[in-house]
Amino acid sequence: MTTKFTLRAAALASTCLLPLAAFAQEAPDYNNEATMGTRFQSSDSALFGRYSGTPFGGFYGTGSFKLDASDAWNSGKTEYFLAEGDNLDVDGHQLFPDAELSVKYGERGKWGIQAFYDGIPYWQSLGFHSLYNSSGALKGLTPGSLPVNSGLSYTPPTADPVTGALSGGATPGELAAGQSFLNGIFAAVSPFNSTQFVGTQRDIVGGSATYMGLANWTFSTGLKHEHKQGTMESSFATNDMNNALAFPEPVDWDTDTYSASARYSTKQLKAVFSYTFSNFNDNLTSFNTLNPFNLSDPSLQLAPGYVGSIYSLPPSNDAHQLKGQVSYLLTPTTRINTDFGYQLMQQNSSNTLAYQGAPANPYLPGGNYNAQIQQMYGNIALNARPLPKTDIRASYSINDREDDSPRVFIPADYGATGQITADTLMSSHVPIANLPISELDQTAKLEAGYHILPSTKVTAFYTYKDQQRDYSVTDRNHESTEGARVNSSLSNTINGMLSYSHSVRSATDYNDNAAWVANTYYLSGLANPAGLGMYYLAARTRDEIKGNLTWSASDALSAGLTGKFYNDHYPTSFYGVTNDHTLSVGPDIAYSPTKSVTTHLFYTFEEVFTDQLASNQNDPSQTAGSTTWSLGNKDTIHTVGASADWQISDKAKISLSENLSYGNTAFAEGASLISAPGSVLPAFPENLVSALPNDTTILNSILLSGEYKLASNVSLLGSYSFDRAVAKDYLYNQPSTAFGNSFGGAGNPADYLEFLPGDGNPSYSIHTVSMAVRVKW
Amino acid sequence: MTIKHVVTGLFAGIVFLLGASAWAAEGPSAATQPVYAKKAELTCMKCHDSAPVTDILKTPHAMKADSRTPFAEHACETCHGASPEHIASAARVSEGEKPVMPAVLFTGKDASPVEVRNKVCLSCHDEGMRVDWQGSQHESNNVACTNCHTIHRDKDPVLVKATQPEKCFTCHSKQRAESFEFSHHPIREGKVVCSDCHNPHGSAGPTLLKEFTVNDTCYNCHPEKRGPFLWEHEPARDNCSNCHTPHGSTQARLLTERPPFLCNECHQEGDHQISPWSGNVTLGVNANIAGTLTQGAAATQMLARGCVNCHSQVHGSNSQAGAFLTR
Repeated sequence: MTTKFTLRAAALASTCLLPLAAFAQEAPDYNNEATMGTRFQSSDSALFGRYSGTPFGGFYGTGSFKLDASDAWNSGKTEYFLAEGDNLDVDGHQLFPDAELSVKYGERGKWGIQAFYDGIPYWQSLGFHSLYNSSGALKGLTPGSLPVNSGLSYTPPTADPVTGALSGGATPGELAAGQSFLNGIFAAVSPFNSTQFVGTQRDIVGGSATYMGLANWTFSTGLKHEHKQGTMESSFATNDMNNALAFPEPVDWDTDTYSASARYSTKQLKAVFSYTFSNFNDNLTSFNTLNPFNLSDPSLQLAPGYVGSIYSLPPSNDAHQLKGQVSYLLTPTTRINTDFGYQLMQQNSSNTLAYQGAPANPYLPGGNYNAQIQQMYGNIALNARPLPKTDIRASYSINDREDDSPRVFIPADYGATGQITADTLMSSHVPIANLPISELDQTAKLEAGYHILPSTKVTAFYTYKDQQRDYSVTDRNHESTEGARVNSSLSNTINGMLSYSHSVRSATDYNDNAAWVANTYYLSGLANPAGLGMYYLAARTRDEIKGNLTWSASDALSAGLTGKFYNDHYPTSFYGVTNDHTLSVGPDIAYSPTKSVTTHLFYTFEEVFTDQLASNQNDPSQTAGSTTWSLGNKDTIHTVGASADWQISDKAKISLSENLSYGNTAFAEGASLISAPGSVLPAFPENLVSALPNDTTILNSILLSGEYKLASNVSLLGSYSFDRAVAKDYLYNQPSTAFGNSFGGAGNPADYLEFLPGDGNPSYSIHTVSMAVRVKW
Repeated sequence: MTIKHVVTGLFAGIVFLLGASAWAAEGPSAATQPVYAKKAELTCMKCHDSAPVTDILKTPHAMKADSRTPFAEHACETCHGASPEHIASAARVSEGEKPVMPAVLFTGKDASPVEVRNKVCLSCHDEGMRVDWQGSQHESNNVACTNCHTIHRDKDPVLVKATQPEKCFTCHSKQRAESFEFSHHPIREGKVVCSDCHNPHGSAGPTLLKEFTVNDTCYNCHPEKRGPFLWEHEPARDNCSNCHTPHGSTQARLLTERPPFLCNECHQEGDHQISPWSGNVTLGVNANIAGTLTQGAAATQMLARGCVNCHSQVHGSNSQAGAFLTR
């Protein structure tokens, strides 16, 4: 029996046994209920069943229950007992994949205990292709059996539009030979490329206890254990960096969380202190496998004990966190709040080696990295009404994240004999070092509000933020934000808010490319072009406007309109993101034409736009006359929802709902010269930039459900749903074994093979029908 | 202006505010003592004898034996205020007279001002996770407790996982739209709810997050991303939302933009990072990206997960050979 089933069995047992004791007590009528039924799903889809744990077509058993044996409000007692279970679904493949169970018992105002189980499935694919299984074994393929691909001179079939010359200096004969060679590889691989299911299951069990027996004090403690098991889609670059291969990354994780807190409350002073310990344990340290392709030395892979490609899995780690909150009422209209915390994150797992066995010499001696981050937070806020109609809020916060991990220098001559190993990535004979990235953030805010009318308040606010970083492109950011907001009740039935803010962020660029240069520049010999601004660090101006309007016309009709827009401009970024904006706006209407009918309608329009500029690889010097390419990436999303509930009679009610999300991503691309008025673009194929086809995604769900009371305590439930997903995306047009080209010009042959997961298009159209009986007692 | 000047200014202001607020504070009034109904809830239930009003009897608020509850004091009038005029006028309703409203009304067009309503709730519920309510985004935007909470209901919808998001989405329409997008956290499916990450009653973190930072919030469910790693990726350590949008996205894995373009925003070091990935060049002039790709027709960066096909340790690597985040 696996851990998964053990956990579920324990959770189920606890929920079944505890009610027995509770049943001995007198319970009011119809506090308890149980529902059992069946559901039919028309076809398979990992996307459809990703979170419900029902990716397979066929019949399912469904169930839920509620047991409430709590004392009545006027009984003179305060004991409560509540047990609930939901999503108790079962089919031929799985037992309760997304079940939720909980039991609560206690005495109100004195003490309480609870236990719970929560299952969270995540199905990623029913058609994942890989040469490997999750333990790293090549499925039927002999290591090194495939031909050498390194040095293969094969370029994509592109021709210069002016001269007709083939790119990369390739000859037609080379192209034909290359294509033939690759076809041979795929023919050899295909029999070993197996189709697999990929997904994970989280099983979470936990409990907590609360005690309120001391005046003004409340003590709580909780324990939670989560086991996550399965596989997830991943891929890795082989040790010779000539291939990328999809593989099902094994997941076998345990996470334990312990928490304790104490709350103190009087009219004047409120305080909360808590401690949380989180321990993440990965039961695996690495995914060890072999490269199916020959290396330059074919005998290498056959050497005893040789593991050519080792992929590190998430390292086990833990975190301690102490937090506190204190709120003190200084005067009847002035409250001072402070939040503070300290967190210690540690990781001391073994370093994952690059490879094992002859003739490798590890870059570093074995051992542990011993990494550690300390984080301290503090926040103090003053909220006051110093004058009638006037509200003031001032706050200061600090967040100091200090990475105390050691810097690890990968030595230049890592091999004892000076021999260059098979891993070309690390063969540059130059030292590199990791970067313990630290950051100190400080923020001060001031907000002042004044009621210019009894129902209208105007608020002005100012925020100043300072961020200092180590080992980053930017050593310091300053950001000032000023703005104003109006909240108003325009009438008894109409409320509105309108807000505008403008912020300016500056960046001190003390060492462009610092991070890249420190740990990878010497390996690649390349740096970002001057003028590249990383969007999350670069100088920026932001204008933001937000608003909402609600109208409660009557008890039967209410309507709202919300909107938000912000626009970012990056004044010092020539390359990278130069501009972006986000807009969302839409109404929400609820209407009850009669007492027995309620309806709801909403619509949201979203636009997410990013404008970015990149240097063209043809001329990394980026002088006048060199070329750039640009992308205007625009997501346009429409979301519509409508629902209606109709209580036909005392016995019958039906509900109908429809939700639709339509998303479109447009890629507007172009190429241009940096500065050469009157010049034409050089006639490189790379400069013939045209837009990629749009990517469209649609999710549509229609649900019709009803309930009919056969008796006062027995109901028949039924539902029908139609769910449809449509994905039009060039990504889904690839075969399961495909390859790409390390795109380049002359002297840079395409020698990179990439074996894709080949999941295929996830679109689906699925009907479900369910019937159930609910009994109350 | 430096942070030092701002902080100095803030604390100078604090001294002023304390003095002023002490002056502004109203002293105890000499108002008459409130007159509560002698029979408490029985008086009210003479008229208000059906659901949804009586649903409150199924809630903890009505537990008379619990000394903390409204029903342990003046029952309905603990929250609705002493309302002798309302009770008196009820007898005259049958004569066609419009009843006087209770002292505090929480819903409908005659609802009391938000500040009055919230004061009632905060008279008990101002501790624990509500310590930071004063000055929070919701408080300063005039949100009433009863805008979200339904008191006269056996189970308050905003406290039930299946129904909580819809309540929040009433105002947060962008987040609702995102929750319906192709890639989303399991909010619609009821496995993740707003309050798993946010504390709507106020917090010291951004966007009312429960934790002090975005990353600390994410690590609660994704501790495998916590590290620290031998090789860190700065934007991932800085803020998960640099690359991910948590409520939903049209792109896979909640990404804000599709790779390689997302990666190109920061990585243009040359070589394979900055080729113009477009409809014709990357695919070859004879290839049609909208159709079935032929072997060798596409750049690796355009397939499947883009740059992450090889740099799959994008959140950090613990391999000695992981400097490029490939292992």
